[in-house]
Amino acid sequence: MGQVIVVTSGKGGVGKTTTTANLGTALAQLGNKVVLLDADIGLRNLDVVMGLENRIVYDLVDVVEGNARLKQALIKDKRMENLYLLAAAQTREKKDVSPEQMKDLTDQLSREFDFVILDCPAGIEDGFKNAIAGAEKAIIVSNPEVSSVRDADRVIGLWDAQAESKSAAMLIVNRVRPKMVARGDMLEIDDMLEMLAVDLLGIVPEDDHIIVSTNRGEPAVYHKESKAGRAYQNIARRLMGEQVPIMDLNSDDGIWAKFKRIVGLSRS
Amino acid sequence: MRQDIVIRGTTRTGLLLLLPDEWEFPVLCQRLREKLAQSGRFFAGAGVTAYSGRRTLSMSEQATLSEILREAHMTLLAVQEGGDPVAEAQAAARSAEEARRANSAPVAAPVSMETALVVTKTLRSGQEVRHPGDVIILGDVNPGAVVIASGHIVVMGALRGVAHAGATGNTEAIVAAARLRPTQLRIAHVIGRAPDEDTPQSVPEVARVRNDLIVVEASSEKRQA
Repeated sequence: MGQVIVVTSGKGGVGKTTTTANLGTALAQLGNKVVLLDADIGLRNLDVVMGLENRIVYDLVDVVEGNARLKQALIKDKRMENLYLLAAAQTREKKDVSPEQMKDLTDQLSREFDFVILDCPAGIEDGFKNAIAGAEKAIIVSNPEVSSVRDADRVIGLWDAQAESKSAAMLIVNRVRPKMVARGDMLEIDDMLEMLAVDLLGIVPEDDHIIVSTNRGEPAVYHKESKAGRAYQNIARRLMGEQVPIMDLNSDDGIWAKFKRIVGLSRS
Repeated sequence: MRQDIVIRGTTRTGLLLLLPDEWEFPVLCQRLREKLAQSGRFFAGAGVTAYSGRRTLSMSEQATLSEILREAHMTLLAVQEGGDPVAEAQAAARSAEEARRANSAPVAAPVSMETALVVTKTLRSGQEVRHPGDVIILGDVNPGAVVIASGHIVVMGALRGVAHAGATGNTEAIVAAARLRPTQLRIAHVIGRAPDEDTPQSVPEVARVRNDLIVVEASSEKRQA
């Protein structure tokens, strides 16, 4: 049985879809069989970020309603053999799917895949309830900024409340600008962790590559020079149970360069 | 069920005999004979003070009572009007206490485990605890979370959300926290908000109402009389 992980945040625009796309790709690069599931029915994005929009024939709602078999609806990634996408329906609504149907779907997928990653819509309504229904792990994405942390706290509370058997939520702090944190203009990661009281899964720096890669439909993990891409690769390895130290973002460019070289060496 | 005759030991005055008001005197005598017969010689030798309730016993009735008791080898020491002296003393103390409470300002009772709700987790944004009594939270209260209690609120971790103590009007209620950083504090009808400038404090603090203002001080400071 594979892991079913939901990527959620409460607040919109913090990087759930980017995180889903990059983690999924990184996990696939590490040899796992991965399926990404876009639970944002009516506002789908994951297909665009993955560059697979033009290959969608059937979507999640088609599968749930029996118009298509699951196998037909799974879209194979254009770069990775072992990476698949189940797209959201764009012309339907969140309440066209029930939490029970989502759970059945993720149960089926987890029998075939090592990782099932759900891209949760923003908010805490029907779409959120659908997305967390079948997940046994939750990745909470938050930016180092007060309103995002507030929403993350709300979502962690809802996650904790819904089932005891599920594992504790994990936090990814996304779009961190080390220099702003150092100046005290952004929330300290330690302060975020103290308030949210969850395990830190990773820190992802703000990175211009993300914008470029999103527009091109090519996740940042493909770009060797992308710091965010490297952070996501580290997170993927942590999800597989490896012990990978958290990147030190407070170092200056000189040390960054050194760090890059070390990572470059270790990968070759 | 009718109240029965009560025979009870006391510490100083020997036995105490309570004669219920509902019974006619002849019936009372009959019942007393039965009761003493059931007891056998258990009360033999004892001195008895009879409490006649609201009735007044005539001399002949007192003589009859004395005779019945002597047949059971007991001595009638005295006859008094009124009911159970112990119960009456308790009732008097209770009503005095009630009067004192009604007249004087309410006293801050210690945190009582009987009425206290103990929350053993952190309250996150959107979560709310309401309780008629004291609330103790073994965890944090995060921004966006709300605690409302008619009594005191004690947070063993950081209080960053909204706390309303004494919500039913008790201005003596307090809010205490290991780290008191509330979004807003309310005690009874008084509302206070956090200062806009954050003043880092890491000592446990207590908030209470003084002169209709919420005052925060370190919990280790001696309370002024």
